[in-house]
Amino acid sequence: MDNVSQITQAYSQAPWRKQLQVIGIFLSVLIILLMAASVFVSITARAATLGREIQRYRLENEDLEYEIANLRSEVATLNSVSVLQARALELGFRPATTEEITYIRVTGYTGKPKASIATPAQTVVSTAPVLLPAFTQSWVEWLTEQLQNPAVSVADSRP
Amino acid sequence: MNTSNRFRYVSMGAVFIFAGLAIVSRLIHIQIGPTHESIQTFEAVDGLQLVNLDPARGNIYDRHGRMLAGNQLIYEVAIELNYVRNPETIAWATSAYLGLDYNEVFALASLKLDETDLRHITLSNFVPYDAAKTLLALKLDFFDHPENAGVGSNNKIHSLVGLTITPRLDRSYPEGPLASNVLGFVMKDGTSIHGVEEELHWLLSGVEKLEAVSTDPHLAMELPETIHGADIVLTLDREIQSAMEEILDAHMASSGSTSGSIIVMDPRSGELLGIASYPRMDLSAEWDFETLFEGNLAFNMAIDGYEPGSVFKVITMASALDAGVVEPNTEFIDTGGLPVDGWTIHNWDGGAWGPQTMTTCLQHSLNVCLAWIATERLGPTLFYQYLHDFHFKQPTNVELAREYAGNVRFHNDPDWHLIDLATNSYGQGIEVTPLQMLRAISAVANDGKMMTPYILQAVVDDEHQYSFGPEVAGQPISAATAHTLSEMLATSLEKEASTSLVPGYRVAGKTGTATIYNSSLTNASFVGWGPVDDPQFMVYIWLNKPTSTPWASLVAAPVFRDVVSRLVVLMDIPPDEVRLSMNAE
Repeated sequence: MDNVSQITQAYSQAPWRKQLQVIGIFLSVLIILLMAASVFVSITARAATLGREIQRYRLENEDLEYEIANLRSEVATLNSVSVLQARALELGFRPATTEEITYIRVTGYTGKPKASIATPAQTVVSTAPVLLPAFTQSWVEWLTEQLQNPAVSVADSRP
Repeated sequence: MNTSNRFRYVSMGAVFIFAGLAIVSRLIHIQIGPTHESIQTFEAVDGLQLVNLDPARGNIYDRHGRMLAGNQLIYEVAIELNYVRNPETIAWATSAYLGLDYNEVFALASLKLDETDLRHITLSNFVPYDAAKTLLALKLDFFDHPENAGVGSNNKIHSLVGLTITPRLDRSYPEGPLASNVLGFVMKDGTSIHGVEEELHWLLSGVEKLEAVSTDPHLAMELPETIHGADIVLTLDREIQSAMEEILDAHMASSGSTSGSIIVMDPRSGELLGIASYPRMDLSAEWDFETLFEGNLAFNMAIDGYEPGSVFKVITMASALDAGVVEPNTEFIDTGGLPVDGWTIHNWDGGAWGPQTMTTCLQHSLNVCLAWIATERLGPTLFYQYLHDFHFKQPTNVELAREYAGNVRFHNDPDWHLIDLATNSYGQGIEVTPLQMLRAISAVANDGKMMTPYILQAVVDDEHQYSFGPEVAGQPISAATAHTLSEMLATSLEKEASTSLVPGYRVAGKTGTATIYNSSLTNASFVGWGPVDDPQFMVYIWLNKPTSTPWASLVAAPVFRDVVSRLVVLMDIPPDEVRLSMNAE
């Protein structure tokens, strides 16, 4: 019996060592929690800052769109028929008559082109999404997709 | 551990435990206590902001991309009573820069929140760009440098805090009154009236909505997108439009007409290149609308109904030639009168023109001859079948609001009489629009194919351009008939030495003078196209109630000459001789 208690005493730790272990574990957990909290706070703060910037840019974008529309109208006014005619008259021009015009054939010239304000609808080729799913889906969504449709390989999702 | 240390540790522990318990109890209190509901309300209401998604109205361009209607920046100047610091400054600034009444603004800005339900008071909705920018600069200057702002008579520092200057877009028409009858206009309250603005409002207006948007920056990406209006491109050519309006205005003045219209169309496609109409308003002066267009006067004469008179003889002759009941050289003896249904049809001069061919019937515009063709050769069934095939009494569905469909009494209508057949043959007792006439007669200029007139060339939406093309409305006559009649009409003008002729260019055309019921005045019209061997333009002219002379040959034919003289230059059409020699190379 004495032997047992001697062995137990020999291998058991001193009370101060046990306290240190408890404190150590507590501090470790605390540090981990603090680190996680600081990462969370940092990311949240950055997201909030970026969110505010997005809101600000949106307002700026709206203001710029208004300015652009206004400037386009101003340019159109400055290039209006009445303004151009007045300027032409000031410079000594007058409308040509049929007798004053000499016509020459220019190969390939088909007259003034029609307005092309934007890309013709039928010539749109790319229908691929701007962002691949790999950039937007979460890991869980990706895993679910892989489990549901294992035949789709990673290579298939490349553009 | 000695006693003093133990005390320190216990005290520290107690403080931390107390603080922890306080935090936990506060959390529990917030979650389930009486403040719970008010916080939820705060999130639901104050966490949201009402945003007016005000879309930009789509621009309108001519066929070459020149802007006819766009948007200009204007500002709403208002008072936010919650934030007003110095009513005196607001009253001074708005009276100095916007011309508002000082006392009125001062009274409004001085209102206490408990005296009114209002929080937002609009002072002016249409402040121009420059005035608004000056006010904004002043507001910022007072805000950034209050030390320089000075104090008012109320001993408060000058401040424009509480004065809001909010930008928004308003319709603008850079070309002024040009094509105003085609464009229509948008009133200050946003209502679109007449023309393309009204007809295509659903395309141009975009989607306006008021949405509650979260102010939470984490939800910034969830802000709704504003759906702006689509831009549209018209088939109009700005230069042609301007020239037509100039010519119309000049002839309105010289002829003393009350109203009128000139339409230019490409007969091969139905594209409308110019639609001039008189009277015409400056689109930025909407208050002129009611005075200019009082009574039943149409906003756009090109789509208004009237009795066309002798220009309709082109339709009667086309029907008769196509049905094979007459030929260009078919003889007719004009005795100066044709009895029909108890009435007698007379010529425009009341005279008898003796032996005639179908070509000279057109050349001299003989009512008796055309009434004879309709009653004796075609008969009501064939005549009205052709009118149906030429789509009379059917709107052209051009993209212009409030188009009149016309009025024709067909032979199976209960109120139809045989005399209607005779009078209809020379364009009386029938109501058509100039645009309907142009559509019908395009068959003669275009190998028998009648083209649908259209003005919408393309729509630009979501950064893509959707273009529209020509549409054949039908083929009421054969190509051979069309060629024969074109030749007859060209010869008629040449033999008559018409004032419509333009040196170097062979054109076909027909005048029309219609008496107005219960009036000594007339409607003078002209339809023509050219060059005859390769028609590239087709023109319809209508002068309402000319007073200088009632005859279209004297008042409308010269308009055609002036129009063609300008058109051939603007459309790069060489004289026939040059063109044919170039084509032969």
